[in-house]
Amino acid sequence: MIAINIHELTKDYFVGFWRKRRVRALDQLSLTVNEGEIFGFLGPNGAGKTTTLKLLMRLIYPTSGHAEILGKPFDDVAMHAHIGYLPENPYFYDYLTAEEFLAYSGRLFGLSSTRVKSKIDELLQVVDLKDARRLQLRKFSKGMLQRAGIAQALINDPEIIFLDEPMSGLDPIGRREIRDLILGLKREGKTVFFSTHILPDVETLCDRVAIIYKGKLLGCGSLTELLVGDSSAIEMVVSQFNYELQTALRLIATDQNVAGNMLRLTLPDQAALFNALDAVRAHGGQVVHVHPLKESFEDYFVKLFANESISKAP
Amino acid sequence: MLRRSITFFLVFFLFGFTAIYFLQERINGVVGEYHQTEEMLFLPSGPMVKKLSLGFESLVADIYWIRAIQYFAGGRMRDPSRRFDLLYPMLDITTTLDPAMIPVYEFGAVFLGEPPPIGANDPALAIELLEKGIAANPNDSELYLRLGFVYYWYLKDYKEAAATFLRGAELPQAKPWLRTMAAFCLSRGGDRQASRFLWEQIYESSENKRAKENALAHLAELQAEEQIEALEKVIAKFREQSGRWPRNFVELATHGFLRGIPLDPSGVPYLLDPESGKVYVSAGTKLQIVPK
Amino acid sequence: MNKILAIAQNTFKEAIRDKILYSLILFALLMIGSSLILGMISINIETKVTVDVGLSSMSVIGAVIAVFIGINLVHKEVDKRTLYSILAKPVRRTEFILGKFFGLAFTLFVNLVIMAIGLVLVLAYVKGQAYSRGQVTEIHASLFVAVFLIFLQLLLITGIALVFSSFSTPTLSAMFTLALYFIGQFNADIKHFGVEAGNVAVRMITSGLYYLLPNFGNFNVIAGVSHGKPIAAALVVYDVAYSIVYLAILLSAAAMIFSQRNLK
Repeated sequence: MIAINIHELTKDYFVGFWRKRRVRALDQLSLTVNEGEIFGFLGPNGAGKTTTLKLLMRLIYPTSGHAEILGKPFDDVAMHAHIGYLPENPYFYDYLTAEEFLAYSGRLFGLSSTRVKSKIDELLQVVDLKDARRLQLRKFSKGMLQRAGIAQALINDPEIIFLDEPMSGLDPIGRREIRDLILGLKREGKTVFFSTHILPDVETLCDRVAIIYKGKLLGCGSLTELLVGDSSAIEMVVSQFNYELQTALRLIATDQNVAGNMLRLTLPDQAALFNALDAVRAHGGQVVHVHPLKESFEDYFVKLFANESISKAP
Repeated sequence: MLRRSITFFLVFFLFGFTAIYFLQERINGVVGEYHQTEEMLFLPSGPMVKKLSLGFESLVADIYWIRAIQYFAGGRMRDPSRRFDLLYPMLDITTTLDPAMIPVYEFGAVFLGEPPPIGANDPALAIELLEKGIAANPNDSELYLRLGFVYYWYLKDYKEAAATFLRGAELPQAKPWLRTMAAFCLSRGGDRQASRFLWEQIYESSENKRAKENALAHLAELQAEEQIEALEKVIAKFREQSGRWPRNFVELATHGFLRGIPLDPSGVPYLLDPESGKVYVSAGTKLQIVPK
Repeated sequence: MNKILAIAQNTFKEAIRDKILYSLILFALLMIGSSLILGMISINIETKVTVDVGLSSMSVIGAVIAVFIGINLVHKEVDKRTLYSILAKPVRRTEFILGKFFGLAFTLFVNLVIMAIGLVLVLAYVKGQAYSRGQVTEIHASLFVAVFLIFLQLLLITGIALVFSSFSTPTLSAMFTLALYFIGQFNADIKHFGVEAGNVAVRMITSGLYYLLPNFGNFNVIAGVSHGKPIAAALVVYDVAYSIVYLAILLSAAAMIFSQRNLK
């Protein structure tokens, strides 16, 4: 089941005072998000992530292209009752208390007041804001606001949740809490679409990722798909080594270094691994650790942008 | 989508403002465009309005002037028997706010003095307004013309008229005929020639559309008077010859006394009364002012 | 409908939790109270002065409130981005505009009621003094009709401010709204200026302006009321119709403009 389908979505802005220049913020973006998955939308600041989300939420209008959410056109008003949205750096009504704010949000979804009341209790518990229930939002810290934002995005029990930079400005504890929350949402069968510029978050949470840069989609797929491991290198850590072993291994390994009383080796392939194992056995060393080296996501990312920059170089 | 909503809105806009038009006219029907019947009754004094104008006296004067004209013109149309009690206060306030508004004095000179149904029938107020204008604008000889004219035409006080014209003649930029007029007044006050000349001067120097119209109406009146006099002379001759009054103008024409049926200055034929030999202006005349 | 009501209630909450509102109401009450002093200076017209000052203050202060809250109705939410989480929900842009309008309308209503109560109290005191001197006068029902007409006027001002707020900054919105409020007092004069000018083109333009610009003079009955004259029922009926039609035009303009906007 496809939860979100974006088809050649484009957004142009016109800047300048007299003769307007056209700036393309989003260029023919096409991607699909499956039901029940956590989808990461990754890109540096200014890449077009927030623009995409604003387009989907009907806050701005596309120059061309369209999208469907839950099978309905994205400007279908009734469909918005089944989704939740947390904007970037959210700012909510100062003068309302957390409780009042959630009640207002609930009413705007068209929920009955009894339903809203029970939901508020539940949500305040989930986002750990029970104590701040009657506190005015103007007194909330950034982390508290973020959590309040998530609460209002969940009040209608949505099928898809859109989060724009949900971890921004949070301390490690806050980030952990949000992460657990997102995983919890997946367990409930919801789809989560979130944008971020922080790689590790994507690595730990997402089923699939889309990478966007300067308005263009650079890659889309699961992490395993994207990180084509043509690298067959293997890393081995050895302890209780002597000088002879080191010399022997130097001939086999492409790289070695010593850290404390551990010898760390990089071996080019499976054949080299067996040779190294023989050497260790012959010289009386201990194998502590063996694992295949995959290209890290960071490497992939940097390589991707290097390509982009080079291709744009004059 | 944008085009559709714009067209929809423009259509709605059109309907809406048509409705507004009708509603506004209805509202005006109930209270008048200025809600005049009520607000106007509570007119404050000139100095008070001046204080309240907060430095915008000139603008407020303009507004009062426009309202005075509307009060005068609209009132006349709505109620022919109306007295223009508020005309003087409004003109007074206007000139207190902006003493240099010459057209206001000129307007007041005519319409304060004119008898009903045309004006407020109070030449004394006209004189007061004009003297105020002269005090504020001592070098304006037109005002002396107007003032002298009020004495001449509405009060028939030829001595005062002459005196006023002489005052005006003293000014450096005075028109030369002011002195002549003074003499005229003293010697032949009430003379039709003099009156016509004066009305012609008033017509020339008036900027206000209504004042000009009024001057023309008076000139036509004088012309009618003259024509009637001439006609009655002819009729008298006929009586001398035939021993009776003529039956009608046709008879006079047939007998060669007239070239055709005489028309008044507005193009409507005169009436001849065969009993008395008097000539009258027809009831169907288009003259605004009818000679007595 | 329920959503419009929710937005309206929220707008009202925001207004009453804003301290500026209280300063303005206090100012109005002070002005009404000042008529006690003015009345002492001018003998035999204390009642007239009280009603004049009272109703005029309500009209002006009400207009100030309508303008200064009105110009921010949309702009503040766009600027602070509180609008994002609202419009991402199943709320139409038109519903948002209507909700904002009714919220401010209700706020103005409450303010007028407070000020009217103040006026009635002062008036009762003043009349009591007059009574003790042997003058007999009653508080006319026309006073409340005048307050109602002031309310209609304030609704129109709110509508105008809302239109500007839907696309312009607060400063410009305030300028234009106040300008229209001021000019709208002189609609008849503009029209007659054109009549006197004689030029056909000028006359057509000024006549057009006469009907297009909001005619606030239609709602001003203060002079009559302060002299104890009754207000024609027909005027009230037509004024209500006028307000409804004009507001419909204003609100649909605001909704249309706002619906087309890309939010930053």
